[in-house]
Amino acid sequence: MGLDVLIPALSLVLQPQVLVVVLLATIYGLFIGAIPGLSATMATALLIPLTVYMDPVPAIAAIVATTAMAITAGDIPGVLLRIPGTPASAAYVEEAYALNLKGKAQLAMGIGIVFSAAGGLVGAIILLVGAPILARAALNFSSFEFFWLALLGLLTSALVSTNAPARGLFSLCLGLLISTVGLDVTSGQPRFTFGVIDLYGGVSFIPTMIGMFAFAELLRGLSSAGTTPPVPERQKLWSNPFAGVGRMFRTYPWSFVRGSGLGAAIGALPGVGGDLAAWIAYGMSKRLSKTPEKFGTGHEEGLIEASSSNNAGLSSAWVPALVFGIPGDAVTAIAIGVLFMKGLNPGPQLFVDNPTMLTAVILTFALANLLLIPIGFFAIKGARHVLAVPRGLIVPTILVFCVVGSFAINNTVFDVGVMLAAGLVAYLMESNRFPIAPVILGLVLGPILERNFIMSMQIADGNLLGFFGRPVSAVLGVIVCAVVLIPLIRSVLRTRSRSTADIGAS
Amino acid sequence: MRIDDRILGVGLALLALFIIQQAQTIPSVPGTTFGPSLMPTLIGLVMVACGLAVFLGGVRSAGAGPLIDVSVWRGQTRGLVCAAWAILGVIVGIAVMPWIGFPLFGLIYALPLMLLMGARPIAALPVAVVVVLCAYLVFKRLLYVPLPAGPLTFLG
Repeated sequence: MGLDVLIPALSLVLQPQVLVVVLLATIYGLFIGAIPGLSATMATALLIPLTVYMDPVPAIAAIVATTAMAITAGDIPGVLLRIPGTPASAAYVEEAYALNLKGKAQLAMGIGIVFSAAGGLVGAIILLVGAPILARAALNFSSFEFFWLALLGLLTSALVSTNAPARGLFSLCLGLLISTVGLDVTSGQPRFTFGVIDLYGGVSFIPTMIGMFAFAELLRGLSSAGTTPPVPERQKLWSNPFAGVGRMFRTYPWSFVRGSGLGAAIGALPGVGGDLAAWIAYGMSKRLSKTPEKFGTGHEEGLIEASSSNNAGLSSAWVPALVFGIPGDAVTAIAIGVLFMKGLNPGPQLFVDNPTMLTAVILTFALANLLLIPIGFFAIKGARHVLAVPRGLIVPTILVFCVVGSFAINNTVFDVGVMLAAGLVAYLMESNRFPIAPVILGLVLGPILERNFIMSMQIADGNLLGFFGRPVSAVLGVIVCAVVLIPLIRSVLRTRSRSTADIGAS
Repeated sequence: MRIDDRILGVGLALLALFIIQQAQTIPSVPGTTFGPSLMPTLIGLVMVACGLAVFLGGVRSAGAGPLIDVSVWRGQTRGLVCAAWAILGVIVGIAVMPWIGFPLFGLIYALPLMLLMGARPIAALPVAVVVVLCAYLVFKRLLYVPLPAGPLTFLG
């Protein structure tokens, strides 16, 4: 990529409108992320109705800034209250809280923010450099490769990132099934519409997503554990919340490099995403540390590695999303949906047709992560006040925005009903340990999977071996088979060893 | 609410069978081999398998708990009332919003919920009014979403 692309892209990003949007989105992400029980995905879901009305660059910038800040701010209640603000912070919440008990709460939050920003920047650079190279290779892909890639992304999210494969797969199928509702694009036949006119255009993805990620989450908060989290004690306000963080870069340079590298690598795998990166990075940090016995007692090393990794993963999760159109997690799935709505179909062709726009989108990652530091400064200063806002005011406010956001997509109350139904289904699913993210991935990727599948079937004339006919598609096909077979074999072996143990015991 | 895996598995498998049956009713386009019913049928088949897997998992760990476990709700009366308000409010809202408009609906929906959740009235009333007005004006004026105004026509 040359300067001829970079300079116009920069001018697209450095516009007042984009900068204001990023600033507002960062502050918004800070609030949602810092409040326990409200996740980064929920922040994104509620933001989408607004982004639909924006240009592509500010729209994606808003999504990126919100998630980056929400994930980072999720560390704050972790440090102060031992409650992870978002699932991504759960990996190192004990460590962060232990630092607080040692009287180093500000250092723990400072590390969280600075290393998140630094990790996010590493991820953004990898995205900026790596994505166009991958896209060039992907230009030769046919429907076979895209079919396998879509399937790989979906199956990884359903099978690998959950510990109940059958449930993950069911969630995925549900998402795929919802994506088939409405008029079939190729034949024009209505499918699963049951005579309801509103369903002919399909089930809208935004109300579904708001229902599943926002409404269901609020219901869960309301119907169980109705206790309000305690307000943290007043912290001694230092003049500089980032004091001592610079020293950490010098003391643990490898933790930072390893954390961001690992996060970027894991995030880039289709279907995996950043949450898992934090867990793996924390575990690896402990294993490779010279002082593993200090872990869990308020030691900075693991915190550095894990916070750099989850933000690096957040940026690099966009590699498969932008290059192949295969999102890595729920947030990128939402963003892909938005790009499709704006007529920017993610995929290798977009890198050829509109490199400036894409580079601008990628540059917003750098911008959003840089903004984390100044906003984070105020976040640390005001953390106590954010957490002190009564839940009784926040939850109904978000519910009002769930309703208005669902209505705004197609200007119909039918979509408010879709939101409600999706929320109730998601609530029941989560109570019964069915993961939700695969539903959204299935819903977004369903049409791509089906189109490439039907096209490939027609080309191969129904011969399934045709799916392995090209070298890249053969490799991808084998990987997909491995992703399906390995958990299957493992669960069979586990059952067998358990029944042998039962026989032995009796 | 947790449902026993045996009931859940059978239920899901039956649902999947219904989907497969429905998929067969989608008319195919003459001259094409792979029609619009292929994908839903395949999805349905995988769902049957998942349902059976959940069922088998439930058989293996049978007797672990009640068939339908609602213990998470126990002692959460106020929380349940709030949840019921949140759900029923939306259902009623879908029916009445075209007539009473979004601002009134939003206020009637949010304010009692705030009070139910323990917010002080002195804080809840201004917050509810500001939130509903902001949501209405931002979406209606800035984004041109035709939210129904209801009787409060002066809001535009």
